[in-house]
Amino acid sequence: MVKGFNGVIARVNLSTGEIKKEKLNEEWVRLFIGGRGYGGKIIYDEVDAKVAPFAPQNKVVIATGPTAASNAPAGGRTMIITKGALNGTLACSNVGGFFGPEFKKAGYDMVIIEGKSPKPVYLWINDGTIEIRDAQKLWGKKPDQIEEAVKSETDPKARVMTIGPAGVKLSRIAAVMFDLNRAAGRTGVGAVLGSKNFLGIAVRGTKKVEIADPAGLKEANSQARKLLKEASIPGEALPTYGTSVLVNIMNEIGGYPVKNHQDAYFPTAGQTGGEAIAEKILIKKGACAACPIACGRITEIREGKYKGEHGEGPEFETTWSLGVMCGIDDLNAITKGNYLCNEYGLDTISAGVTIACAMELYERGYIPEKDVPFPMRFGDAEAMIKMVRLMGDREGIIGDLLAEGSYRLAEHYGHAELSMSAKKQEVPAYDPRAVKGIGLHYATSNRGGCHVRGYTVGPEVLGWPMQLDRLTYEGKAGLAKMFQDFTAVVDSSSMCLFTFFGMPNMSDYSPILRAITGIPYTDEELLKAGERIWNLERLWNLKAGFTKKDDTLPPRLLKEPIASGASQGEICELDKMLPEYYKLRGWDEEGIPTKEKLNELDLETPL
Amino acid sequence: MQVRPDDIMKIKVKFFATFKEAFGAEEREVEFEGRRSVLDLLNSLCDSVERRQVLFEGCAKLKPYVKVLKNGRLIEHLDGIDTQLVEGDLIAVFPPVGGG
Repeated sequence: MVKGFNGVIARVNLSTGEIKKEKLNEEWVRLFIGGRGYGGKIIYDEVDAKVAPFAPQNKVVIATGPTAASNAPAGGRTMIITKGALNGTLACSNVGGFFGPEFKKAGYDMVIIEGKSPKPVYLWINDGTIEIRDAQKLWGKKPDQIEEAVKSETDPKARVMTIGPAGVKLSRIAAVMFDLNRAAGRTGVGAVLGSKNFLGIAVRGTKKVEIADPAGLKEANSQARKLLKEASIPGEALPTYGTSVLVNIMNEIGGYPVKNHQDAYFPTAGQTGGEAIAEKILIKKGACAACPIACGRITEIREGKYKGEHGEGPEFETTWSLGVMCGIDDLNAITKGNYLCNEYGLDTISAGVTIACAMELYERGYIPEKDVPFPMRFGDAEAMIKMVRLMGDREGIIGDLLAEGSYRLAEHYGHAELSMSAKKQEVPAYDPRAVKGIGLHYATSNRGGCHVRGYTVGPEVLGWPMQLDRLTYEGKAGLAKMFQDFTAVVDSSSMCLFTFFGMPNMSDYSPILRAITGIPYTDEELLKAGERIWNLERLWNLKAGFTKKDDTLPPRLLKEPIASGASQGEICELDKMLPEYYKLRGWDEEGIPTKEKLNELDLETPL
Repeated sequence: MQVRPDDIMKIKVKFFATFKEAFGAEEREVEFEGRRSVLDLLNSLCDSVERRQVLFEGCAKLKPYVKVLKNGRLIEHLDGIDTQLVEGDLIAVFPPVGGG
């Protein structure tokens, strides 16, 4: 029997209240590893790709992988897999915190949520038992109020995942919050939970998960921790300055999007970087379960209007999206905006990019004054904060539209081209005009605009694990594919992508996965599993109606040269990379996986 | 732009993250006479053994993952440490950084 799992998946039908236990499919563990890969296979098999994200027929898989509760470094992540609310892709949002190991120790590997509850409920999972509990009094409350109430109703040591007011109001950019401040942010997974009248899960677990080779795992974990300690990024840069240490380098290379990508350099961006955070607002570092890196920032605003408020963040992406993307360099305001997003349960990337989109629409006169309660101009920090509130509350005409994300907002006003999104999901803080490979990844990412599923920024900007030229196109197709397949493995294992900054080879992960599961995975088999997961997600998206036309970027990034800074004049010529990418993937010219490729990956031909 | 041997040029240098602490300032302006390279510039700034150890692992070799940008371009994609400087260049020096 495969080890490192409980061998049990819970299936909860919210429509009927039925709770079942099912056996883990061991063959699927070999083929799809766990977490994102395994959960994706469940959705692929069980949910009609054409179903509406908010239909009761959509399902949600909350999944861990083999490394959760194994003490593998940063190996406790949880994944939420579903048909995403933002764009209808086979969505997966990945989160740290402490929920994953607790869930696994409660005796389950995953839970499948089906149907729609007639009234708001949450699940209480307590060392093997599962109860559906009433959540009517908690519906629409903030995560901190929910966590406190749920812990008092269940166990003070319970770990809690919950949607906030944004999920309840079906905002398509709603996150699911874990341990208060960690977010499964992307793709609108929070709204899918909201559509099912499902608040979240409280879990308590004290069981041990059996490991195939405990001595081997101890040695493999120890080796991995050594790599992470000795490597400069996870050993020094991330713990000292957090993820926002990237602000300055992205700005210096002229690849840090400004005012809805109207530029890519902001002279005072450094005022919001990791160094400034460490100096002005940092209280202490924060680490997720079993994580030796501790990139989290526990912060407090120490001056100005929001003095005394405290919370977690901002991370790099939030520093940017609520910052210079909106023309703002006020760190306190950005931090306040971040706290608010956490309180509403909003994805900070999509929230900030949507606000930036609204600011441009307003400044260009595309949003009539009657639709807005105040001017929405770039650089106005107070406007940004008020817009987060409007978005979270869906207040008024503009609040209702902001909650839908930038694409629907811009489309409503007749200018969809001003949504900085790929497959309707807002693209992150690396401008593809200045970093070509990440543009290819944004365009081809299975869940829409996203950086973490194919982080070519490592070699293109940071020189890790090798240095490539960010402005050339040659070799970027292979680079994107390699990172996408590699990351599918890391995600599906439950490990954090940041381990890659010290563990750049599959051979750094495979001893851990072999020791935990007892499956004699080779490095090649694991990378093949990553490729299989990527192709499965692609097949789902094709079935859902996505085509080659959706593998693209906003026209601004393809045609409008960067206005100033070190990458002035650059555009992203996607056509120079996409055909080669399809070819390397074993897809035809329309981006459809060939029969040969699917056979090679043990995937059926569904089309 | 041609630089004559007797020209005086001003180069702006920025240090980030841990390098800001090691070099005591985020931004400095350096004046040179004549033709100079990135190596000359960094040599002139490493005015103590400690500072030298921060950046170099040999006479003319930077430590791995020390990132030097000339006007936003990594010197690896120019002429490396021998990249020539001209008046008004901005040099940014980064320790290893990462995130997401």
